[in-house]
Amino acid sequence: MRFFDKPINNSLLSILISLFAINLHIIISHTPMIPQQHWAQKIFYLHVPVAWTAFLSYFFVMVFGIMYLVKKDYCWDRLGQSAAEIGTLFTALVLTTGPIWAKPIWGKPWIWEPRLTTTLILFLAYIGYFMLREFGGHPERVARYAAILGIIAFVDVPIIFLSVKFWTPEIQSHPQVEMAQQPGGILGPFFFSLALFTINWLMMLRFRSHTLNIKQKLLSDHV
Amino acid sequence: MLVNLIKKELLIELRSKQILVSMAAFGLSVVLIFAFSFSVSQSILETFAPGLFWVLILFTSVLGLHRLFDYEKEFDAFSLVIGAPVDRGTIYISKWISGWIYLVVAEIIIIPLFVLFLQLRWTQPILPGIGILFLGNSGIMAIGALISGLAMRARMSEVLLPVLLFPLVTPVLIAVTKATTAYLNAQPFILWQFWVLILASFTVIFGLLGYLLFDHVTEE
Amino acid sequence: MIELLNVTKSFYHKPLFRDLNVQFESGNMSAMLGKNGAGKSTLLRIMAGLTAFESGSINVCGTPLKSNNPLSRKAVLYLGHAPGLYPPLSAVENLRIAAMFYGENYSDSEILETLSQVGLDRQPNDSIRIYSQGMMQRLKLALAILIPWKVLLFDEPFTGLDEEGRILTESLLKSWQTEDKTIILVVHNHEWAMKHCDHLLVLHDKGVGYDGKSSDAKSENIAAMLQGIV
Repeated sequence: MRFFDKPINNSLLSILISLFAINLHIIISHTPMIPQQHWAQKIFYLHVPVAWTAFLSYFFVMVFGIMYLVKKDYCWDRLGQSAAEIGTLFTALVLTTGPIWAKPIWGKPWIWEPRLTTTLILFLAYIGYFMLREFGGHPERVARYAAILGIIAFVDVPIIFLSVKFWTPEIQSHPQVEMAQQPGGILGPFFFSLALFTINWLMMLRFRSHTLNIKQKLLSDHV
Repeated sequence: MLVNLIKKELLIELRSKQILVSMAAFGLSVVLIFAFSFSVSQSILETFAPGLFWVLILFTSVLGLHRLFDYEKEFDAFSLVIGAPVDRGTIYISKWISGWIYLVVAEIIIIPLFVLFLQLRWTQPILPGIGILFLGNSGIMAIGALISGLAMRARMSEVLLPVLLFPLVTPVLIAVTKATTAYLNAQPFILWQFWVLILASFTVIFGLLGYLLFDHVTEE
Repeated sequence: MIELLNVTKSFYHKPLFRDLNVQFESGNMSAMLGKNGAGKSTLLRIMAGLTAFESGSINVCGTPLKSNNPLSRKAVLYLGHAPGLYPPLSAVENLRIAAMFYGENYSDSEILETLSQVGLDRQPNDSIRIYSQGMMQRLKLALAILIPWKVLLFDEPFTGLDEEGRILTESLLKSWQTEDKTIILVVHNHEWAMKHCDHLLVLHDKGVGYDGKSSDAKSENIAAMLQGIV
């Protein structure tokens, strides 16, 4: 059965699309305009949840990797691959939305801010992950190697962040802290957006692992 | 068994001389390229020297890491050691340590020529420099040996290895460059001990991970 | 003795064999046969602990074979298609290192004596890179003489051997057959297997085509399976 033929998935998709529309409306019309930053600041209602989704995804690549090595069940590998794909997509979005905000605020599209830099490094690490999946050999071996790489990459995240943070200590930017100190009406929409992106992530994960499952079944029948 | 495995690695390298010769020759070529490429004032060159040096060492170590598992593949010698009653985590440690040894030997050749051709001044006591060098090598080889094991059986392994390694080794690169700069500028240790801590933590964490995960790397 | 319980292995999500239940008894020489691609070499490598499998378990002399338990591999010696040795090193050095992996320590004179037994005493200190395929095969025999194994997994033992080498291999296998050891060979000649081996295992159609005494097997049935007629 196709994924969106199931009533529950179809309903969830419809609800998500509606909620995203509402979210956009809230961000545009019902959030205060921050002095000096104006419309550019509003991208953070999307940029931070997108970043959260990316890191959540990569965290679960590690978790699913550990589960695969322990249980040796391919469903964990499919989940890991799905999470890696979603994580990389959202990382690319972070690297796109970040400069969009940065250009009017910082005057240049890119500076070596710790979080952006860590995101860039992780993006490159996961390009390597997909290269390993492509060139690593037969799927049974690749599943194991991808699991190992997912674990290594995420364990490295805090060390990367710490070293980048103190690499250029003069560059510090904590927009969330600034936001928390702003007048009310910001945190509510922000957490709504964050929750929505998390549910969206779950939906994307389920959909993608479903398609990978079908692909695997087709391969095992036809190869 | 660890000592025997390291002896085996060193014996094979003594016979073939592939790793050391390629690392040293490559390192020297890059030093020459640096010398020709940077026509800037001496003070600017000395500012960038630590970064240049560690980029050079990173590229040189990739060469060594690739060869570390290459001879295991040639006659499927790897099946001998992983089929034997040898702890597979110990195999990883032996690769890590022997890679570290090759890098140190290559550096003994590269460093004097790096200083000579770039006409650098080195007035600091040698021991802290050696400490940073050894720690940096440990960090690179700890994660390098594990990644090299992953890439060993893949197609395009010579391309895959640096693509996988470079993003993950950035904390080491940042830490050693910062520590080396501070050391060469005679800054008190308390100002750069953080970077030594990063290097030590990285080495311990990835050394442990490598030991625990290498079982899964060795099986086909 | 080596025992396989419900062992399944897949490649590219397609099963190579499914739920294999086989026992190789001590004191027996077993021959594994099958068409190309049936999974004989893969099964041998699985039993050696070199290749992972999806499900099931393997017991070697009563100990479960686990990748994180090196002692579970102590009783097993695997001799594959490839030499499985280090090309830059000499025969003496390779044998010394291999013995060291199994916890054995031999003097050069003991190793040279073994090399002389297999007819490789002329170039013991030259790199094995110059060896022919037949010489590599003899070197593997030297390995099997030196390493104290209880289970020998030998993939195509006669490849590249001249007549003298074949006779030597057969006599060694025969001498080991009388001891309380388990020998598993991958061979292609089913008539040789039926004549010299106690037990036959034929891999066929993702499972077992025949698993039993070679004296009970019918040559024409085995041949039909191997030719893909059945």
